[in-house]
Amino acid sequence: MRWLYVAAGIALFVKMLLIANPSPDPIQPSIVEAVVQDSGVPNAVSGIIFRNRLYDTIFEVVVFTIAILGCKFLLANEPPSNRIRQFTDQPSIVLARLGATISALVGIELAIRGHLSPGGGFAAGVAGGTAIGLIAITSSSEWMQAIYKRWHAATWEKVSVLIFIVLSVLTLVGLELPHGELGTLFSGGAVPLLNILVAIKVTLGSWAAVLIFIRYRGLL
Amino acid sequence: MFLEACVLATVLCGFFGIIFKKNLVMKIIAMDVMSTGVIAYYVLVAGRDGLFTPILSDRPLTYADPVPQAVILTAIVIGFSIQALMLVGVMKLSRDNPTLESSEIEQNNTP
Repeated sequence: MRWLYVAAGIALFVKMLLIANPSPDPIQPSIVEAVVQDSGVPNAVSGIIFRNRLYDTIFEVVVFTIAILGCKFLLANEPPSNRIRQFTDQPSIVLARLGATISALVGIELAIRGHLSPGGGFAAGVAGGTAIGLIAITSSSEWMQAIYKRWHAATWEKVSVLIFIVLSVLTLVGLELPHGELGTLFSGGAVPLLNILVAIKVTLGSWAAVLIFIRYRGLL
Repeated sequence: MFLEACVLATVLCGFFGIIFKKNLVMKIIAMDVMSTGVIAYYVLVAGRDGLFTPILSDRPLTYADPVPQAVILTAIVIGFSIQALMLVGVMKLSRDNPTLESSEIEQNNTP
């Protein structure tokens, strides 16, 4: 049976390599120009994600939320780990904090300028999550948990998801904010807002995941 | 052509890892390898007509196709969250089945 699978895999490999996969001739004017004209943001990928494929992006955000909630619920009846391993030496702490500062600044930059330059909400959220992860491996978990509680991060996460869904439904219905001047910071209608909301959501979501793993596993 | 062969080889390595490896953690890693290969394939398809980032600029450039890039961004985020969920599931399974072999788990759970 095993050799049958391998043979089928190799046959698929040869088939994919040898049979040409034709692509339609380049559309005139190009896709990039058409998307930029429709969405009013120079970054065509952001334009597609938050306008042409917005319906898809809503469910992407919903799946991400459900996965984080699922991690939380699955581990809810486990005993928390009683030994938490982390870096305690001074050089690691300084380096991790430096890295976290840079990563957080990069995250903000990617979130607010994601419609103009390479970047966008998801990348910004991952940068923010990296910053939080770097802090989490060097500081005490009670302190991280206290900050998470004090700023109501879990509530903000859900609020940002809800605002995202409402804003995207409004966009899908056809209400559009004015596009503004192409290529400026405040332009592109709802796209920068959606970018920032996704960045907040992904940052807080990955923060929640980091806290869950540290709490029940004792290690990131 | 060579790049395409490499990418497809990565996808197939991941796929065979998923079906042939017995350990659940190895299966998850193989799944990550497979999704990396699929993402690379989309990037390859996007770069077929041009290599420049699809951000409108004044100079006339041959842009990469933005549509496959936007499609695969979804898969990256979903892959990350599914992986977190699968690892949590494996953590729970490892309490009762420390070896995490899929055949052992099946044997332990057959009535």
